[in-house]
Amino acid sequence: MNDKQREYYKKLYEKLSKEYTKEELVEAFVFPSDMSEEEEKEANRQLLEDRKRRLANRTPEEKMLSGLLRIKYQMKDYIERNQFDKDKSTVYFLNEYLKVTDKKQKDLAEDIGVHVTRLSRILNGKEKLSLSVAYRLEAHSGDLIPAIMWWKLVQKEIEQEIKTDEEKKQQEKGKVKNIVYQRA
Amino acid sequence: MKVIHRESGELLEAVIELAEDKDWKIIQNENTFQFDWNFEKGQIVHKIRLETEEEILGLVSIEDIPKEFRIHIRLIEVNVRDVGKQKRYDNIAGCLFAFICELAFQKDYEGYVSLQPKTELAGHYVSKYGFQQLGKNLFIELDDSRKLINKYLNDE
Repeated sequence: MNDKQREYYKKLYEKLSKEYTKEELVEAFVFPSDMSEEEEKEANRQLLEDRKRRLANRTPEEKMLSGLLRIKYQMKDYIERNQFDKDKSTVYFLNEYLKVTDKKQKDLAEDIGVHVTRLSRILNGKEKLSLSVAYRLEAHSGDLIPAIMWWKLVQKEIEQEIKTDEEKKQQEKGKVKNIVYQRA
Repeated sequence: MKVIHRESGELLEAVIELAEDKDWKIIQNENTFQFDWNFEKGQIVHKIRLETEEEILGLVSIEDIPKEFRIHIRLIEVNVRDVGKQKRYDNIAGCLFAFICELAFQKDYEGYVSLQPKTELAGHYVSKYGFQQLGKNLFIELDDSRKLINKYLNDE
């Protein structure tokens, strides 16, 4: 920030602090810092040191919390986007879940009470994750990753299949008899 | 994510998205925003608006610092019509803070978000949003960051 801007913000803050209480100000603004260059350098150094120390001293519980929340918010971000992305599949997120929880397939299968073959089929994309597995994953994550998110991922994949899998559509249509309405 | 319409108490769905080129004319209008946002043009700036309307209710400018696994909030400003006792909506800044915390989890930064506040406001960010003070810095991380998200974006 140059001196002109510094002066501008100083005056603006003086004006606003006359109009509003401090509570009102923090409900509406984060002002630019009022530190000098030297002070800012020192503050950044202090922050960096503290950050390194915290990263080095994370407990397993803290690592688990941050890992699970990473998955959750990445899922949420993807679900809210309109586009389909084959790299953000249920299989991808389930593999991330295995990594974060440091579990092998058979351990997770045992934890959530499904046969390891079934989990393996889900992880190989041969079977869709069911609602009951979604509920169990929610419970397994200590309710941090809600079942609805797993379910929305599955829905997104089904939607994509409906849009693109013409072969399957025709195959299924071929099995239908006595169509109840025929357009003229 | 929802903001509260103060007059009716109604919760209104809001969205946060990156500010686009077309937004800058409004952002630079001093009757809407008083900060010098022109200076933030090269930064990552997000805007918040009601899902059903185009009016920008607030802005946040951030710096992504991957080397330090953190996001730094440079500026937040709420639309002049939503500051103080006359404001139309509540929780605009809260939603912006929470959105940045969410981003900091997505990026595997443990929800770590920092800012360098005006000295006399520091304590108020601590009590209002759950930041911790470190010298002249404020930061939020992990469970406090999650709580802030749940408070303002609880929309699963």
